[in-house]
Amino acid sequence: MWKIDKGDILKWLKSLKKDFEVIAPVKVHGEVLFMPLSDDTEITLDYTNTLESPKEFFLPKTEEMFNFRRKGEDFEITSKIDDKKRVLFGIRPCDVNALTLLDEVFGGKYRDPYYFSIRRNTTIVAMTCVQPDINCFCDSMGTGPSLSRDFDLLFTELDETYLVEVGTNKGEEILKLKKDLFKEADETRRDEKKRKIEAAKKKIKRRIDPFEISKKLKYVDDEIWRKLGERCMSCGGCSHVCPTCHCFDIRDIFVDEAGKRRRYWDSCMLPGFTRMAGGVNPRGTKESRIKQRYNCKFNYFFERYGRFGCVGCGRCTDVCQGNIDMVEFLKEMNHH
Amino acid sequence: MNEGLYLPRIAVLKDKRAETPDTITFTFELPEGGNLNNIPGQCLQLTVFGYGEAPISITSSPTQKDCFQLCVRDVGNVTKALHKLEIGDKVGVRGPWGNGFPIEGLKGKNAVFIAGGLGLAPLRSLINYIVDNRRDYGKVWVLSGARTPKDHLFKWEWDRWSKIDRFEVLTTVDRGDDTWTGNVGVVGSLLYKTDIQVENTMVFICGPPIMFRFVTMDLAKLGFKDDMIVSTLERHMKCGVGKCGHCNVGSKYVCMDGPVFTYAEMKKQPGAL
Repeated sequence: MWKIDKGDILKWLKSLKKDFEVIAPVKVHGEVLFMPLSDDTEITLDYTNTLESPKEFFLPKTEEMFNFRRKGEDFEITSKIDDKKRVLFGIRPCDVNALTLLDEVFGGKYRDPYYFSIRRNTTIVAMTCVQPDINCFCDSMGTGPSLSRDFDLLFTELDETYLVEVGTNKGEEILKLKKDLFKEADETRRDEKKRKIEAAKKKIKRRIDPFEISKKLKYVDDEIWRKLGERCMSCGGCSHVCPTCHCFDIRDIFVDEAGKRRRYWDSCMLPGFTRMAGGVNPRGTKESRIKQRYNCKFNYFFERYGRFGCVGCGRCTDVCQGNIDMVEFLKEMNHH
Repeated sequence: MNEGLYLPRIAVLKDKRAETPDTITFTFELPEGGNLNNIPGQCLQLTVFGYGEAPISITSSPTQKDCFQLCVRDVGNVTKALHKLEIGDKVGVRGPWGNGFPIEGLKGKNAVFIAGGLGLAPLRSLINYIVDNRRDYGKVWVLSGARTPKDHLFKWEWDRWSKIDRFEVLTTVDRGDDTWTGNVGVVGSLLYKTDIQVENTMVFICGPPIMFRFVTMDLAKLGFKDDMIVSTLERHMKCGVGKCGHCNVGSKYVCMDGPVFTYAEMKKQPGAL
């Protein structure tokens, strides 16, 4: 168990830049986003939750899958896999839990080569959450504010220092690179951490019972979905910021006998998501799409992977153009 | 590394056979030889380079050793481009994907095939599989319906199938013409024109949703149980391997867990029917 002074964290991250791309929370026009550190970006340790989840560093918004080129009668296909070494610093427990959910989606029988190459080459430096946001409900989902696994290093903000716990050898490696910045922490720091987590839990005001909700969601009246659908703008913002939404589209671009196949983030909330060639669209209405999204999070994910597809980060409520508040809706529905 | 998951293999177009004015059966060969080792009922992702990828059911049986066939209507960007390809042109294929028809569970049982229009394309893979493994399976009825006589697929197979031991082929059209002397009416009506045995019989249906609805009502009347009725679901599909999320029905992905489902399974998944 180690500790590091706040001022030294930046020194440490800067030193890592030599061997890694370092991704950390950065303040941009008043919003906090995860971004690769460059010489003129400055990390911030003063944030509740980032506007967007860090999923784009594992499933890029646009990702090249392969190139193809016409060679006489033939087509030549070449692909390259991203194996850049990265450190992701400051990822919160909710987002770490989302990441392990993405591991389920991209793993299994058909292991996704692109995702796992990035995942394997990224070192996760997580941050215990001591400052939950107003829309957070991680406590109800069992995904925060503390984290007990799935990190390489875990930082916790204490009163005048940061506690650093090592989860894996991968974490140990990057700590060792600048060992002089880390001091040994004594056992009393554990109690201090516990107090911080208890205080954070008290700040979380929103609460749901996901098991109860998953049962009820299956029997919600179409009329209730229709009313909720009326407020949806079909903008896909909720999926965009959601750390577990993983749906993507695949498209080819082809210019001058050469082309690329790329995948792009997509959203089941967009009207054309399920539209087939010829025009038939199984989920052509807003209510059918919103019903899909909620059931995906609280039922389909669970049936498929044994875990809920929501980590309680509250981002979908933060960004909804139609002021749809998922927690409020789920609570109301639960009382019906 | 599992890069092959998303990288297409090359296949060469060897033959085009017009089935109807808008539907062609394409025969492809793999440069390395052999076929796709597909289970009847599986599908694949077909790339027409420069246009993109589209999910297509495989209409050939794996017992056809040296090639594979796709029967495709020109309805989207990729399929329109496919129709314009010439013999010798190259395409990309990924797959085969999905569960396929229950070829083991069907052993020793009878099979009724009920096809509406293009629905005969995926069913043909199993029909021809049974033809080539005749001793393993019981009696077979092929009931095929189309809007007009010229919309019928695989007319050139009807004669061959009819001559096979314990095979019966019945066809119908919604609207006849001068050349048509056969049945007129919906495909479900054919169920009453022959003596179909309910016991120990599985039914395989492929066709438009409206046809499916009426045929399942007919089948219930005849006494078929939901778990003996098998069909395929069609959804927008991108990755083919259960990641991209486009083809979900409830907690199932059509690409991976389907496309073949029993009627009983379909009833359990929200939005499947």
